[in-house]
Amino acid sequence: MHNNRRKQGKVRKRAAAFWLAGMLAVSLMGCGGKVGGGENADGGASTRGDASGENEAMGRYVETVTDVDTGAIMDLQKLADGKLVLLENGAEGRFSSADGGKTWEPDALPGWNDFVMENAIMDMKAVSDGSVAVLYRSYDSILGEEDETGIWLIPAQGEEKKIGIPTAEEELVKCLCFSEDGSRLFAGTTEEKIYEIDREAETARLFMTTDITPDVFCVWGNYLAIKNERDGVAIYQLDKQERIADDVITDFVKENCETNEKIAESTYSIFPADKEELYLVCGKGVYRHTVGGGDMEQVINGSLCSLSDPMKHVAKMIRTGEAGFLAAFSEKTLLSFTYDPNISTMPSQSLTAYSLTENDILRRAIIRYQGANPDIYVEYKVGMDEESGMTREDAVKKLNTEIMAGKGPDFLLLDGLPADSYVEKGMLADLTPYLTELEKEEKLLSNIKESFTADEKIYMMPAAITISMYLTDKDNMTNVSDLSTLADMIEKLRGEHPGEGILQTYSEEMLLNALMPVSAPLWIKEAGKLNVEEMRHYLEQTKRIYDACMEGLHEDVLQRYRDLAENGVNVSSKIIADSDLQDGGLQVVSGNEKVTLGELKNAYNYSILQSVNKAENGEYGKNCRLALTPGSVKDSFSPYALMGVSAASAKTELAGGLLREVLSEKTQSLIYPTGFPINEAGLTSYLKTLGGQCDWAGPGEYFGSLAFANEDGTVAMMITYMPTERETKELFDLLSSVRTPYLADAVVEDAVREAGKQYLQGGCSLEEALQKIEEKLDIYMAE
Amino acid sequence: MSGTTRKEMGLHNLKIPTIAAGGKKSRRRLRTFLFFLLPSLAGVTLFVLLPFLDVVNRSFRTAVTGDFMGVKNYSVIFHNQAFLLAVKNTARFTVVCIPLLVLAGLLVAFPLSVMKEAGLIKSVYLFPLAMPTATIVLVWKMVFYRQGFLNLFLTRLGELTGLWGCVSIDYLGTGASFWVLVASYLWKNTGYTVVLWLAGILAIPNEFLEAAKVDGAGRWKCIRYIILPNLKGSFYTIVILSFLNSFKIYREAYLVAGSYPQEDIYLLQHLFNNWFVNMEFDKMAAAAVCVGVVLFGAIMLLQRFWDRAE
Repeated sequence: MHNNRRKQGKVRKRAAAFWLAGMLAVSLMGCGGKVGGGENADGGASTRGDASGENEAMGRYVETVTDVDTGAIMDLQKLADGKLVLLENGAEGRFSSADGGKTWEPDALPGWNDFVMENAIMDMKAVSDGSVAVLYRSYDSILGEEDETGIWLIPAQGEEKKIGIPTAEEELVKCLCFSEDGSRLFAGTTEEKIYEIDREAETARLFMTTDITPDVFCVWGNYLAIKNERDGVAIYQLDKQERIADDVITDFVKENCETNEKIAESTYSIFPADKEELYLVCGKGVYRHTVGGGDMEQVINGSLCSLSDPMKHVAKMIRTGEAGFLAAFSEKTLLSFTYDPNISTMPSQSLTAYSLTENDILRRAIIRYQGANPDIYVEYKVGMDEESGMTREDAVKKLNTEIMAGKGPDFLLLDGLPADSYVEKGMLADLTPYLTELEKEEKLLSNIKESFTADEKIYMMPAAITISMYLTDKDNMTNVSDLSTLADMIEKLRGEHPGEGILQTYSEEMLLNALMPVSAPLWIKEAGKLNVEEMRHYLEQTKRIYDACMEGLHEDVLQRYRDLAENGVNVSSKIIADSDLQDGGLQVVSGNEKVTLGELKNAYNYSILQSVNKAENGEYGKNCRLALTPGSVKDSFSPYALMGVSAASAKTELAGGLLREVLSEKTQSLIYPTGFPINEAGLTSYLKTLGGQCDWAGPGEYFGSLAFANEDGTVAMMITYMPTERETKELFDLLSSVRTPYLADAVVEDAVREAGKQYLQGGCSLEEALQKIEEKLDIYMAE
Repeated sequence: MSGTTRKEMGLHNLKIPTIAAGGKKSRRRLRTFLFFLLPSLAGVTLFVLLPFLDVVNRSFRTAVTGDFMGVKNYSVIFHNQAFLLAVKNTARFTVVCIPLLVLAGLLVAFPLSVMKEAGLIKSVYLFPLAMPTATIVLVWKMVFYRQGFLNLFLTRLGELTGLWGCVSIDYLGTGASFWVLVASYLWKNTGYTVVLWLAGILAIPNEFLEAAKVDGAGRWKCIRYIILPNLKGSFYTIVILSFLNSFKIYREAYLVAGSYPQEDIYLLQHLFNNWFVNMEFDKMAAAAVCVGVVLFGAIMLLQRFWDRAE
């Protein structure tokens, strides 16, 4: 019996050992998953077959992009007769298309022009019989005089009418919605209420109270779905008016549909599918969801089309038939999706692009590149995305590991990466062949190209550039040619304007950052040694400027600087210099400051600065002029989105194609707001429309105004004008003349900024600051 | 009388079976031996030995293109001031810290070994090990920066005594940073050293000490002739663990001062980290081989010393 027990124990132990060994083997097999095939990136139903092509999943929606000359698009609808209508808050109000959305003709709403002169348009909806409902609020009402908010109904046949909605005080009607069959019309308000409009009786009644405020809502079958940017999607049963618990769509929205801060707009929307189903469209694609169901099925992969464009958002999407969708970006673009059963679900070729942080220029170029090459899929990897919380160093180490493992990206944005080291190690391919091919048809700014040429090879090329500029009275500029004469000028201004603001200087880092581009390119000598003399000059002159700016300031000016510093301004970011420049222009116009200085990043800011001296903007800025910031380097520029192609890549041709796309005229002309294009034709077209920000005003014409309130309650206004042809040419010439790239070195900059800040604050002497910098950078240089 | 020697640990019973020993039983024992040995040997081979061989191979090649360079990478690192500085600082840190830690642990362990509340006090000593590095770094910053508590305290003290004025030393930006690092290492690691020494002391049979006392040995003689000789095994373990833990201090140094700290606390790990970021894999491989050889040599030396002492 004792033996039996021992035997049983042995058997159990062996069984356990085998089981553990089996589990280990299974887990090891699990680690070695197949790369590159299988499911698509979004985990959707679409799959890609093996290399032989057998079992390859086929069929995908293919996108066609149509630009339309409309105002903001409010609605799209397919009519019963097959025509498509587009409602827009622009000159016509309505466009229609008889060819499935390929071409659009104005189909003006009756009395539209008069109507929009008196009323602000809040929402517009069309229904399949051709009727239109317009939610409006009179300008008088907005100005607080007579409250008039209502719905303007333009039926397909019969007379138009206006219907008021009995809302409570402070309750605003936000949006409209027809039921799918067009028989019912609803209106959603800011107080989480849905009203139903009786078009015959011309009355509105409270239909239901919801849990969230509708930004957009839709009614189909027995469902009502509401989308709110902050609270997500809520679905209700129409007859019972009860909410249906649906965690799947709620969680999906939380994880995938973040508000796009770049355009301060929603990035997702909803629209009805079949009886029990709903579509959700966001940057990641179009998803079908069964109400109360367990999954979100991807119908269109956003990464393969323009839906992933970070600068746009879908205003409206509809189904145009069994095999098609039509989507409207609010920014005058229509996307038509047609299902093609004969192409593979995922493109047959793929390419990996990498950048340390999300880059809009690259993202948009990828969309265009994929659009022009439907058989190529570009996987865009971001090293430091917001979710991972990864530091720069960790991200670079991860990238380097991937490169060494032979799994590195084919195309890289080198901003923040050790670009020099990559070149030195032979990791980057020569871009000359791709640029030569591009220049058969287009021309790049030769100064920029030459500045990146070494030994007749180009290993990196920026997508855009910025330049450092300053603005002040032209009399002040006389004799200003470098940092020391700039400091002389500031000191002279301090003497002339005791206690007043001279150059908005709310932090030491801000000033150090602003002057770096005109000195830092000289900080490291060719032999890899520090140029201490240039650093000394830079710190000395920056200190002179800082002291002169801060000397004897009136308390109100100091308070303004403190407020700026406390408003969470990221002083170490280079972006700050750009906003300083624009804000500084406004301060010069108001007389609060005498000089503004910083990095000029886009034509919009250029137009603002060139507007400072216009007669309408008053006395203070009337003699002001804009010029390159004087410094030790006279012709410096900062490259942005520095591109490189991996020499180890087996897809250098594809990567070269993407490079050409980034530098193509069309992509370049839309670069905004982070830099100026380097494609000559792209730059010309960019300057004409301020990077797509203003396509309706001609050279020198008025296009807007800026205003801000002073501490004393007075409001400073500034009228802004498009640059004149002369001013545009001046900018073009400036951009064509800069030749010294300022390739920011984070380690050197940090060391100078840290010691420089102490020196400017008086916490250490110049020699001590230089010693600190040297100590820190000696190790760096020695490495 | 030899404390935790191999004999006492029962290791003398371990016989490595050989076929020559003959017979079915021996073959079965050999199979069992290999069965237990192979998984760990495979793991070590797969995750340590083979990667290290790859590193050795890379140390003779360029980083990305893989061209053969001979010993150029070794020549480069031995002329690289950053490498030499990092080696100097790391060696200095190790040489200063390990004796201090071993001695500090022993000095605390002796009185604790005769106290009834040793268990509770042991827990208190182990507390620093449980502290997250980020917290420690935060405390460092609050204490040792120019405007930190230490300067504040010294300034107040100076004011009260009238002996000195305002104290404004940037401890982490001067040579003092090295001693801050040493203090932090001692503070964090003394606890487990105490525990290891205590385990060694308490494992000594009481009869030995009582017999010695009967023979007229005083407290000092008991320590000198009974306790210390019995702690040689613990000593080896403590030194090896302290040596390996001394490399972990990099986390604190990195978090408090970044990739390029004050030059006295620039350690080999800083250099490796920075080389990794800048893709200097060729230099890194050569340096890693050198460091590996030195570490291996040091451990072998210690082991030989230990074996000989037995």
